[in-house]
Amino acid sequence: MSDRSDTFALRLSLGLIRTFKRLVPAVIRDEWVREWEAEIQHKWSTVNRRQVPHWRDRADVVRRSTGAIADAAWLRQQFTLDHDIMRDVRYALRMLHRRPAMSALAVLVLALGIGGTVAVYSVVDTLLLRDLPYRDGERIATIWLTNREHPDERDGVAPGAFVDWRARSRAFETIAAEEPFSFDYQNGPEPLTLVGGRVTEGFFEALGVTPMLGRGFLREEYTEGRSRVAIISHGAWQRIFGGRESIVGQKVVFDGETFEIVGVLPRWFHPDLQNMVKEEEVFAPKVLRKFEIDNRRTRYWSVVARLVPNVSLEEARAELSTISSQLARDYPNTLGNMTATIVPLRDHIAGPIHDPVRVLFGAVVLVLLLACANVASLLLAGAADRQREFALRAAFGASTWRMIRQTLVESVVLSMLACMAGLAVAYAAINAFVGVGSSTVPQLAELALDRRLALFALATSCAAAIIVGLWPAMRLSRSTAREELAASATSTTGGNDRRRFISVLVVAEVAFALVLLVGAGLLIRSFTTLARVNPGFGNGNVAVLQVFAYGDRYRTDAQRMAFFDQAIERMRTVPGVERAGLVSAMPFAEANINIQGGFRVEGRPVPPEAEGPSTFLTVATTDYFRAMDIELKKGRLFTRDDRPNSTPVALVNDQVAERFWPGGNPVDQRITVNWLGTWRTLRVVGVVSRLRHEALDRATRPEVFMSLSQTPFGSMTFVIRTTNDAAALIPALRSRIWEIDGTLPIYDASTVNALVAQSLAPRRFVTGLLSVLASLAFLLATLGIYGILSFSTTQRTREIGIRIAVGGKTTDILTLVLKESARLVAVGVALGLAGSLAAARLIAALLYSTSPTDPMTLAATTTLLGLVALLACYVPARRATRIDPLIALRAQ
Amino acid sequence: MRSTYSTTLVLEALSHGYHYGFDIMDATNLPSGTVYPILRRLEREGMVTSQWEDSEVAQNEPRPQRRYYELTADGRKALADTADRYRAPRGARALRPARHSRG
Repeated sequence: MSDRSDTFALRLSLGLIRTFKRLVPAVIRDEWVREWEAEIQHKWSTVNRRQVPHWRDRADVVRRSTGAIADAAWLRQQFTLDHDIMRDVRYALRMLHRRPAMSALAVLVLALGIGGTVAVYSVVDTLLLRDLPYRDGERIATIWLTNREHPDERDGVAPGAFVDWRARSRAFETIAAEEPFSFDYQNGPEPLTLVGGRVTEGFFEALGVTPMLGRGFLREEYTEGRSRVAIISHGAWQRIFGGRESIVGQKVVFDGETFEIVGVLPRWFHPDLQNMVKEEEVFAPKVLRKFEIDNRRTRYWSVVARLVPNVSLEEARAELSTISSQLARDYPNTLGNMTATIVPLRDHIAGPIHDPVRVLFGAVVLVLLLACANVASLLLAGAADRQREFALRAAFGASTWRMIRQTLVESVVLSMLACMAGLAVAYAAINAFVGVGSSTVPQLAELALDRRLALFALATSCAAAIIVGLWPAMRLSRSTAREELAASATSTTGGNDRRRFISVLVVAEVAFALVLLVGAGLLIRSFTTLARVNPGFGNGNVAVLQVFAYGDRYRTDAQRMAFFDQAIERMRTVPGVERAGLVSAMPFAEANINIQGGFRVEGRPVPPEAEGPSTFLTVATTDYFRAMDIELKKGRLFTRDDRPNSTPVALVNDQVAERFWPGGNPVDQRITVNWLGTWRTLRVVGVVSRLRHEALDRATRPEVFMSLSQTPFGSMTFVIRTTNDAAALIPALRSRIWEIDGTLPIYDASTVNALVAQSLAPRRFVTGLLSVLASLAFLLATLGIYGILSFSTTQRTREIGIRIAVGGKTTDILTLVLKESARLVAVGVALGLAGSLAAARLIAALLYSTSPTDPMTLAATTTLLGLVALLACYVPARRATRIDPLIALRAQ
Repeated sequence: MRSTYSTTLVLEALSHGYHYGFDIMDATNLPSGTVYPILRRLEREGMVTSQWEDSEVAQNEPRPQRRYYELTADGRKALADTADRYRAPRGARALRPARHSRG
């Protein structure tokens, strides 16, 4: 065989490569040819190395080279795809650049929607979605006593009730309690009071936490004489003990007694069982005493429990409900009206934000949808201008899919720009949440813009891109080039399809905005109602400083009294101080000393001791009532004549008066109260108005006041009325206390206004946020409706021009345009009201003495939105009547 | 990564020291119209890198320079991940250590 026939297979293979190379994109073509030729040449030489090359080996070379067509085709397809998408993106950027104002507005509106959604989602994620750091956190629950008449008001737990639950319940693996406790620590630069608790056995096990350093408490440490051990929080370890690991095993003096620190808790440990703003810093074992086991009256402990695996919360609730009924029968006067309420730890930690956060998330999603509707309408206006462009492209052979991709790429590019701006918005909003919210819900301090949230933002933006780009894309998929060309040439009204879309947008904007406005309106109404609730005391400049006068220097009543007398005298010398009083149970203070005791009226039948009625017992001085501006309704306040050795006297509040002397006068009546285990007889000398203690939305309570001079007591709060800003005087007042006793910690120093404001903070936070969202929605809806209707009227210029040309009157044109818009607004309002009613149940939990269907709020918001929406319709309608028919007919 | 049986075979071949397109075809019994697009895709996804072999190696043979493919760390990881799915694949079992090395 000749050489030529020998190399036929090689030449054929190389020829195939040269043929297929045309398919390969030019930029990589030479390399591609070189690679294939090298492989073929190499294979060829291997085949020919044999003595007698078999024809089948040569055929194999040809067979292999045919595969080059698949390779070339694959490269071509990939290249085209990459190239086209890049071209679409460049084109989209050019289109956005061509209308800078519209693009900036669209990006801004979407960014607000996306950023807001991401920010509120961060709260939802942190509080409701993420796993709790506690081991098997879903099995941990807190248990509270609740008065059957006020099922929403959770109370603390009486020690006796806790012991009963622990003995009778089978649904929980562990039930443990914490007694609120504070520990004075004097080794620092200034005396400190560290808050914390004495905890019963199993407390940390129930919470599923082990100390980060050291160990937990041993069983024998819950017994008398062995309990001088403490576990400290991560915060206290860092702040007070400098984060030294050697702290474990060291001896520290708390409250004048030596404790060994045996453990340090992890940083995330904030179960917040005492509902305090302050972090709990010290825990010590609780030794249960007989009088505590029998105490079913004073509800001040916190209880935490771990469910037995596979026992549901509902089963546990059913069991505790049965136990509560048994206890109510066994102890009718102390637990008769009480029931146990189980709150999962997660819900407890989310606290006052738990219910609102869902509402807020719903609200922010509505704002996002509104933003999408607005941007869709902006794009719609843009698309109308480009109708001819698309039609021409179709006529020149662009496929429908190709044009849909172009529109989708445009909305994706827009959304991605908005996503970046939205992340900036979210960052700012999250920082604001941390600043405002973390004092209410400690866990909010952990909010941060992380990868999870960035992914959520991306997903939200993609969803927004689809919503925004869907309609133009769908429209393209349905129409053909010919129809579009024909329509744009003769259009008088803008086409049914588009008008339907406009209608949907207007209706949706009105409806969404109304739902948000009604929600915000209800919350504002509820908030103002609550803020106007009379707490029973006046506002103004009142400073409060709480101290606990116990320990070595205050062993006797005389020592305590001497300290308080001196301190009050010195405080009165501070310029600006008007009144300086003292009280044990300071309303709205974090460590509100709630002492309850049995109450009897002399001369009336005496019920068995444990089952008689009880009231709150408070120790106070006369100036407390004056400083707090508490109204004296009958009789007199305490006087200097009420000395330790004179007749013990009492003031009762009007709630006690109404209950025990309905229609009568308690003044000069004799009562006996059980003060810390001792029955004391007191003469009632006056009636004062009732006070709110925990919060403005909590019920008032029956309260009996005893004079400090006759009832010496160590846990007192200085209540100082000042002529000017009370907060400014706090340092001077503090130093007066420390002049007398430099070792006495001041537990809390604040002002009455600040305390009340703090109790309103969660509601203020939620109301404020929802109001911002509703205002944004209102603005977006108004702009949106105006924009859409202006556009749709412009689209009808030709039709209106014809009407005017054939003699249509201005009022007819106005009516024509307005009637149609008003119909849409009315449908939107109807749907919005329906939506508000549907959402009523959701928002009802957040309202204080305001009905979720409050007619005033519904009427006001509907009127406001309706009027503004109609105004937004009127402006374009009015403009339509001024159309010059000649210009109109020439238009388009 | 889209991981098909053929992709796993190609990764497997690369890991056994087959670095050129036609050698990978020989090792896996896959046709060239399958092997090349897989190599292109793997390269695009960062599983594989490629470059022209040293001119010296080619001159010694003698033949034109061939394109040399190599697994990246990601490629090795992907192979390890998919190894379980296609335990002891038929083709891979037939792989022999490559004669050619990069010189």
